Amino acid sequence: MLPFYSGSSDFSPKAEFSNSTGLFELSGVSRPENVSAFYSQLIDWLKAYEQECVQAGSWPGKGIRVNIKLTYCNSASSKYIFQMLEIILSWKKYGIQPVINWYYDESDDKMRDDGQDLADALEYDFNYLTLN
Amino acid sequence: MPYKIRALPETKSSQNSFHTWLVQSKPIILNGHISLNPYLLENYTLLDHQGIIHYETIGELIHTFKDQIHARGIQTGTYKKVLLVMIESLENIMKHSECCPSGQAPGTKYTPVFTVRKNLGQFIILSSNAVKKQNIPPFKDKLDYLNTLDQQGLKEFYKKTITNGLFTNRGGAGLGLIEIAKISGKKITYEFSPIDDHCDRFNMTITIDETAN
Repeated sequence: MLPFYSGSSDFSPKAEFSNSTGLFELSGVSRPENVSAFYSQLIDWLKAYEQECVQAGSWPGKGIRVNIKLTYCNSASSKYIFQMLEIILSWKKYGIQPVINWYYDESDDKMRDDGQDLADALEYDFNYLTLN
Repeated sequence: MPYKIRALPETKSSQNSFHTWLVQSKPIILNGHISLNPYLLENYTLLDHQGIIHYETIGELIHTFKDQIHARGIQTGTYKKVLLVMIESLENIMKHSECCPSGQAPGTKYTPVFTVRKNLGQFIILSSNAVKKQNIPPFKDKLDYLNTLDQQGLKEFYKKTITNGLFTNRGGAGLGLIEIAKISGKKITYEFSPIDDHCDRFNMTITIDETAN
């Protein structure tokens, strides 16, 4: 299985999902023209990755880490990010304890609040970190 | 010596024409000095768009808005709130505008209008577009429901909607208006005014207080 990479554009985020390290990172802004198409490919990749790990009977040694480093996202993107994280958190059934790092600009309370709203909806604790 | 405009006394009846005059006024040049009325510096129009909203239009409006942030001294916290309300409002127009054949000249009764103004310490975001009458009842119900909720209620409604897994056939997540209400922290002001037998014009005004950071 290949890692997933999608470069950022003016209004689409950069996505770097590594199958070998288990680090999934989303950065930039998220308002892609076709939100469904953009996030469906990430969701499909995650489902294929889960199958591969289950079949191999092994997960990355460092566990699963998710870095969300968005400066803004539209509401449709938020719903897809929720679905992505829901899939990743479902891997707790395999004994995985995913770490979700939510990055935000120090002066941007709104982005931090968005992270807290997602964490509340997922009923899971995120780490909140400021962007350099 | 820079020329100063003495503020005119305001009355309720004169307020609208006074504000119109201020918005339309140009900088005053006297003896080589340019002086702006302080009132003009505090009250201005950031965006004024008339025309069909496409995906690219939203991008252009975002860039136009961003280009003015530093010059206007708008702080990050306020900028992000206005930006996100802008995006959700414009995406609503893009997805839900009706009765507006493509290629139609601006200025017709079906043409979407979108403006962002600063006035007396508040940012006022006005969106206006034609909607089919048959789509109004559930839309109006949602707006009225949102206007009954406080911040906690909005958070709970947001959670319920983001977890339901549903998307509209136009790719909407059902979160846009909730997000707008959460950010504004004020009631959504709206009205529907008839255009013809099939369409009404939907006008929505969102107010965001300027914050210190």
